[in-house]
Formats: sequence, structure tokens, C-alpha cells
Amino acid sequence: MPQERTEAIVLRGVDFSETSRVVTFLSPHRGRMACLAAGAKRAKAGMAASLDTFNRVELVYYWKDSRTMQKLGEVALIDGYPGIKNDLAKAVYGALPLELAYKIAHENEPSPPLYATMVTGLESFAKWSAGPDVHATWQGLQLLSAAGFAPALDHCARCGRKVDTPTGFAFDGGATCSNCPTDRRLTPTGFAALLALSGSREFCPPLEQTGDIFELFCGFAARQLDSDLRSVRVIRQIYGQ
Amino acid sequence: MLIHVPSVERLIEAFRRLPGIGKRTAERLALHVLSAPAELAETLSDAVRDARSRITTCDICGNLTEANPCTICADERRDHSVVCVVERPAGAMAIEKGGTYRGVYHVLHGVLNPLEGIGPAELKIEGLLERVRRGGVREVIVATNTTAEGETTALYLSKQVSALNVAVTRIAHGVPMGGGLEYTDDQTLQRALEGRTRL
Ligand SMILES: [Zn+2]
Ligand SMILES: [Zn+2]
Repeated sequence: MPQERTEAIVLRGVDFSETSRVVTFLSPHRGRMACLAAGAKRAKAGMAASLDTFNRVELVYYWKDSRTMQKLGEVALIDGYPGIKNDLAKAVYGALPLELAYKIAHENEPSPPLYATMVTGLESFAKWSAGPDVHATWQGLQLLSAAGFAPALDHCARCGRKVDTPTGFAFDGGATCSNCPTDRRLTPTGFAALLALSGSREFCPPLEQTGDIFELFCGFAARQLDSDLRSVRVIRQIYGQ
Repeated sequence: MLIHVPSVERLIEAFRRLPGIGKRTAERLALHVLSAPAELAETLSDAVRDARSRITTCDICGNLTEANPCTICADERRDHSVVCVVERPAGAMAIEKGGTYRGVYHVLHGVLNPLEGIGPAELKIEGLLERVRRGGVREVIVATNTTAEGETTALYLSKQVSALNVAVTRIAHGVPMGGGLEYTDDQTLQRALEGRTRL
């Protein structure tokens, strides 16, 4: 059983038994990877703190092709992003990028760009001081784009015609022209925000006005991934978005 | 050979569904129950059935109880103005074992976990706020676990409860008793330093 070492982000953890947890990581070269962390729930193991959701860690694990759950060896914390965890709104909205990464990534499929996007996003969010909905939208757009799901913005998603100022937005493709059916109206403000957020890879642009871009993005992401986004339900519950 | 006998397989499967019990342990337990005098199996099944049918959740605090309200909520010698919020009944039990806490509890039956779709509506949070609104509570101690989800829950409760003008406190996190600093992880040490107290 070869021992491997990688950097990873903790996407999710669920209790497996009284003492163990199954932790799902996003890693650059193994994609989404579930590991059994035996004894992780014992306080003395010191492992539990490192396996907290959102954490960026370095881990040693034992890889075997034939199994769906790998065995975790050691974990060391690189960054726990207290800037996200100590802020209610960031911790709640921050669950959306985690859920998207979980649903976008595939098991044992290398995706260094997806991983890099995730790390850049977490780092930026920890320092971000404006609306968390805008930041989560930016992170989400970047993650989807890294996986090939970027919305159409310079042409109509329905008829393919080039459009400078789209008036609508279709969840299954992106911006639409005034002649095509659409899911939502797209205001000039919303379109400008969408353009700015999609175009900026390294940091979330500080936007004053964004319209209902968060809702628009959630509709798009849910349709692209063909999935009900649980985190969005909870965000709506808490923040009425 | 008892392997592949349907009734035995069912028993093994039932044991396996308990936390911390793997296949081997389940087989061992099943064989033990079957080879011991029949009285053991009867006592065990009666006890499980009896306890399960009598135990319910307390209407006030949500803890597991036989009487409703539970013995803690019904105890007039306890301080009902201090409510300690825990994730699960096991949390309340752990604090009770300590033997020094004299306030009452509120069991959330989980923590906020947006990734799993668990929001305030999925937890016993409204019941807590209702208790606070009814008056007589001067402090809410948040004793959720120190995970990201436990912290998010603590932040959420703090916002909701302080809006009702009641003090919210968080249990301290730090170096375990008898623990050496060099064996404590960075995050715990940082929290221990932040939460230091004057001697
Ligand atoms: Zn069109
Ligand atoms: Zn009670």
C-alpha cells in the first residue's frame, strides 16, 4: 500500500463510529478523496482540530485503487482560516463554495486548477470585509469556470448571437438576448457585476452594486450541477436571501 | 455452524448498527448472547424495549428523559436562570458527570451545518429562544463542540440570544488537564492564549 503525501482542503466530515470520522478532501492530484480518520474524535489524538471543515492541511494517506475510502495517516494544519470561522455570515455563505467543490470534483481525477481556485478563494474570503454573498458568488463562478461550467456572457446562451447588453439570464447557459426566452431578467447592474466577478481570477472585485446576482448564480449553479444546493437552503433560512 | 442462519445474521446485523461496533465484535456479541443462559437474552431485550418505550425528549430542554419535564428541569434547587446549550444529550450527560454545574440545559439535537442542509429550523433553536423570551433566563452558556459547525452555531445563538438582551457566554477552550503544551495543537494553544484569565 503506497504512502502518499498531499496538500488538501477539508470539504466535509461525518462521524463514522464513536471514535472515527470520514473526512472528504479536495486535493490537487487525487481530486475528491474520502479518508477514514481512525481515532480522530479522541481529544488526545490532536487530529480532530486539523480535520475541521474549511481547513487547508497537509496529509499523509495510504492509497489503494480498489477502495472508495482511503486510510489517513498524519495530518498537519497549514491554515485554519479563523477569519472565515469566526464570522457567522462568512461561515454560512462559505459553505456554498465547499458544496460546489464537493459536487464538481471527481474521485481520483487530478484537477490542480480547481484546487488552486479553492485555496485562492478561501484566502481571499478570510480577509474580505464586504458582503459575503458577493464573495461566495465570485468563488462559485471561479470554481464552476475551473471545471468548464462558466456562464455565457458575450453571446446569447439560447441563440448564440453576440450580445453586448444581455437582458435576461438562462440558468442552463448564461446571458440571453431580448428575443430569447429566459429564466430571469438581467439588469445592467447585474450584468456588470457578473462580468466583473467572472473576469477576476485572483481576487474578488469590490463591487458597490450587484443586484440579485447571488440568487442568479445559485439558480445557475444548481442547474449546471443538476443538484439541489443544501447550503443555499440554509443561507436562505438564515439570511432570507 | 451458526453462520448463514437468518435469525443469527439478523442479530449480528443489529449489533453492527451500534456505534463503535464492527463485524467481528458484532459476531462475538451475538455468539455470546446465544451461548449464555437464555435469561441474559431476555433481560437484554426486555431492558432495551422497556427503556426505549419509556424514554422521550423533555418538552422544556429536549434532553432524553423518562419523566416529562425531566428531573433536571423539574428540580427547584437548580438555577433555572442559567441555561447551558449542548449539541446532544451526551453533552449534557458529560457536564452532569462533572457534578458542579447547577444550572439547566437545552439540547439542540445537532449543530448548524449548511453543507448538510441543517439550518436553524432543523434544530431545537426556536424552543431555546422561546424559553429566553418567556423570561427568567439571565445567562445562556453555549457549550457546542469546538468544530467549525459548533462555532457557527455558537455565533448564531449569540446573535439571536443577545438580541433578547440576555447574556451569552461560550465555554473556554484550552489545554486539557494534565496536558503538556508541546503536545497541544496550534489552534488549541491559540484559543487557550486568547481565553486566558487573570490569576
Ligand atoms: Zn438569443
Ligand atoms: Zn428538561
